[in-house]
Amino acid sequence: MSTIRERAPLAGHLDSARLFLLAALVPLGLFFTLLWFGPVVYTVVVSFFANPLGEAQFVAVGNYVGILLSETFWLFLQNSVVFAVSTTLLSLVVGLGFALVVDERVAGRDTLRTLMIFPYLLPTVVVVYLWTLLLDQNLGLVNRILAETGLITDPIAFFATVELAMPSIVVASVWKWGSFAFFILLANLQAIPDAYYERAKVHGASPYQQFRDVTFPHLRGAILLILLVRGIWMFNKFDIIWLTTRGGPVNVTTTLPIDIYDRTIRAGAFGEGAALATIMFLLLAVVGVVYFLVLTPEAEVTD
Amino acid sequence: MATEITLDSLRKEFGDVVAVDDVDATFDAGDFVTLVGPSGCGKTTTLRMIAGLETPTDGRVIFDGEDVTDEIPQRRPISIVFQNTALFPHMTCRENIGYGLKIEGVPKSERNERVEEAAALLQIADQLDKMPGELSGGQRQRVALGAAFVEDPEVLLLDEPMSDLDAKLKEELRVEIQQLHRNLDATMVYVTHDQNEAMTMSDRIALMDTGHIEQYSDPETLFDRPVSEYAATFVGTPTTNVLPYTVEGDRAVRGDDSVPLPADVTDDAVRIGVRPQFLDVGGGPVSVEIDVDVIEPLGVEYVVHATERVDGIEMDVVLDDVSGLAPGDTVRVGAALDDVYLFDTDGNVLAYGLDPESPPEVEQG
Repeated sequence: MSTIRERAPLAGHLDSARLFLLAALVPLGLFFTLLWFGPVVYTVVVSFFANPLGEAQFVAVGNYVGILLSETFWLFLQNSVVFAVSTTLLSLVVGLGFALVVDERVAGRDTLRTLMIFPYLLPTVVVVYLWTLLLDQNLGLVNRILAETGLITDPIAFFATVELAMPSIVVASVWKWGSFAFFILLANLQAIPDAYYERAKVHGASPYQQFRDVTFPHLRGAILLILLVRGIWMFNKFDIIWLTTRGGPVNVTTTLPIDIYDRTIRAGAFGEGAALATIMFLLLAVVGVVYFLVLTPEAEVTD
Repeated sequence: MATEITLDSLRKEFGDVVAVDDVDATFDAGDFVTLVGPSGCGKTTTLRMIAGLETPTDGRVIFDGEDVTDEIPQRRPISIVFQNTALFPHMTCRENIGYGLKIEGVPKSERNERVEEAAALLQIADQLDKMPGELSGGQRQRVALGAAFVEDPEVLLLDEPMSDLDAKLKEELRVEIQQLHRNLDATMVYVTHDQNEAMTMSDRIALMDTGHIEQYSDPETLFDRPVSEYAATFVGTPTTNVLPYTVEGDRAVRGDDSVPLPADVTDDAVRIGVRPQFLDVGGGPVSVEIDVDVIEPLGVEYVVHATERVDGIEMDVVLDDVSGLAPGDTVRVGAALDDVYLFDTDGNVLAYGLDPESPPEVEQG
């Protein structure tokens, strides 16, 4: 805003415009205070106490020190990062691939586009059942195909094998949430004027050069948005991991949200859980700040 | 090396719509050819088929005797300036101008040299490191021109490059494009709906109408010897006045006025066209009485908008002097027999001039 307007005192005469503004803002303010700001502050406060629900005892940063000194924290943080980064990047690649196909005038593109929305609409529980069935050691389609083609002799327990548990969850997650990237990228692809491609062609640009010099620069903003939003979502993801492996086997799929649930609900250590949640919040805040400083996503391509 | 372009029965249909209807023409190597016509006449589609951006439904595009109809744009020796410039918004002007050279693999230092040379010619040397979004419309169009000719193309295609610019900028760019044409060894094909641009810039003009070329000739011929009423009225400002006459014996009659006709006219009715510049108060034997509606001063001359008295047809007359003339006046204006066009009722030209002594000459373009 380049112009500075003198703000009239709110308690001044209430004309209808101001009343409307007030009526619109008050519920929103209440909502944020009660359901968002309140719990956040409460969690931070609780994180400085031991046994906050019983005989609360102020331990200052004791909970934090305990967590940061534990070996599991760094393992679970690593799991979280692996899960968030791999699902986000794979969703991006898969989404971009399908978006590029649908953006071309190929036969069946409308069908493909409609099909793409279905995984996103299915409840996570259903997706988990679907994938546990597909990957089941005894009944699963994947094991049967692998066995019949002679690739394996013994059936594989995908979600229960140390090396395969995380990749299996990643695949199921990308299947479910990949269409998020697909729809955003498709909308952005369709907004690129044909004239840019025509000019590139006349200058002699190959399909790859057209992608590099026209398509990609126009998708940059969308890709950064997907990285941030999807990355935060996946970092905080709890349901699909809990429903498939509960963090096992031997903690290889335990991410920080799973650990928070374990500490808080199963072990009853509310102070520790709150401290860990606060640490996650701070980590994401730092990532967010770095993201906006380094990548300048608002520097969108404009005409 | 400029390229000769031949269009051989070139046809383009979009569904049921015939955009380009079996066009035949040859654009000589090094010529500045303008495709001109109203919107929807097929001029841009023709240009896009020359570029390879549109696939002809039928017919061939031939460059220097070589059939390029099925070649992709990348493999044709062409450059285009698009109407909306199509400059890449995420690249600086330098990168935009040098884009084609970069694709060709020209080394960076040579690329920069050529870009700067082009920029100097187009007076945008100080804009090179700006983004297209920071430039004015005219500067952007100059960058687009630079991006097209820096590659030294054999064929330079321009698709209404000036349609979004204001009048003064148009005049400047018009001169620059002509200078460019002199410096370049390229065949230039220029698409516009503006007959004024076509007349001032071209070696040859292809006047188009609903998918076909109505007349293909140099500007002077197009102006002096239009092949049809359409050509006569499309070219020239204000537009050519055309009045219907009935034929009685060897004369064309209209109200109380009549003019002699060439001997071989057998039609029952004819139309006579006369350019506003050839009419004068009093004037010659092709005479008509008009009511003056509006007088527009244009500096050295005046355009008189008037209504003709017999059929109420609107007419324009260009006069050097309008003293004693005011809106509401009735006045007789006329043109010499040599200065009018005779058309049949379908608009085809029958004769240039009505002098019964000299035989009618009709040139088909």
